[in-house]
Amino acid sequence: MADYKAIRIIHAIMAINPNAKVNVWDNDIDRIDWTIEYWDKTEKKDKTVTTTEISKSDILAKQKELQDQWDKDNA
Amino acid sequence: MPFTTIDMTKGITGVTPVANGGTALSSGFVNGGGLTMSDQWYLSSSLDTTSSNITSNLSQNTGNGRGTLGSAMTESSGVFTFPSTGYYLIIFNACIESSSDDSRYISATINFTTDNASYTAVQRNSSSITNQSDARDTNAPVFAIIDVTDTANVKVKFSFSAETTVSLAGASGTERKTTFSFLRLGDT
Repeated sequence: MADYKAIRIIHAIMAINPNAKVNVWDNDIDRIDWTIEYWDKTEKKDKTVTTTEISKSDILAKQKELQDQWDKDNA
Repeated sequence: MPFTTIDMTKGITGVTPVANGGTALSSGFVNGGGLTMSDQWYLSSSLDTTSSNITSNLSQNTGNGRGTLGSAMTESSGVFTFPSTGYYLIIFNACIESSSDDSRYISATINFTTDNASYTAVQRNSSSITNQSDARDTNAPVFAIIDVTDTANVKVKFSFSAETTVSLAGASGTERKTTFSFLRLGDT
């Protein structure tokens, strides 16, 4: 069992949209790349994908919800 | 027979061999000697992702005793251009942090193109994080030797992927974590 877990911005995004492909820089709500380029290991080529944006308020609310739940479960 | 000092500049024809820093050698030595180019870059911000090419927040590693030897690499949107042709050793040291997520694979990859368009993954290394007790760190260093025959078309970029969301560590103050090193080994 984990002793501590800080729920990060990307955890909240993935909880809302498990298929999201995003980059979050410095865990900053204002520095999220919703369009990213990545190397597809199966097709062996670069791909660019855009994930539908989620509002900052929804992300922060989910982050708090997940953190509260984790803290409660591990108290 | 006692050792006798020989004056190499007298009674000998040709060029006097000089091993350290000579500039007029005929054979058997390399003028100047050693590496002529080394350059290091680093990730300036931490990157939380599951899979991404590294296309921004890249900075040249200077200051606090660090420096570039010879001509530097240039970078645009994560694509690195070499200053001259030759064989290069490339080291991608991926420093990975996780806030207690399991991840069975975390891969760092060096991607290479010879036409400045289509890339191929030429070298990959993987690590994993399996322990769930608090935050865990690991690293996945990747090494590749690239023959750069044409600086306009032979370029590299770097990518990163993981089973779950993990963080590719950025810089912390003067401390660098994820770095990209380029050393020119010799002529192509």
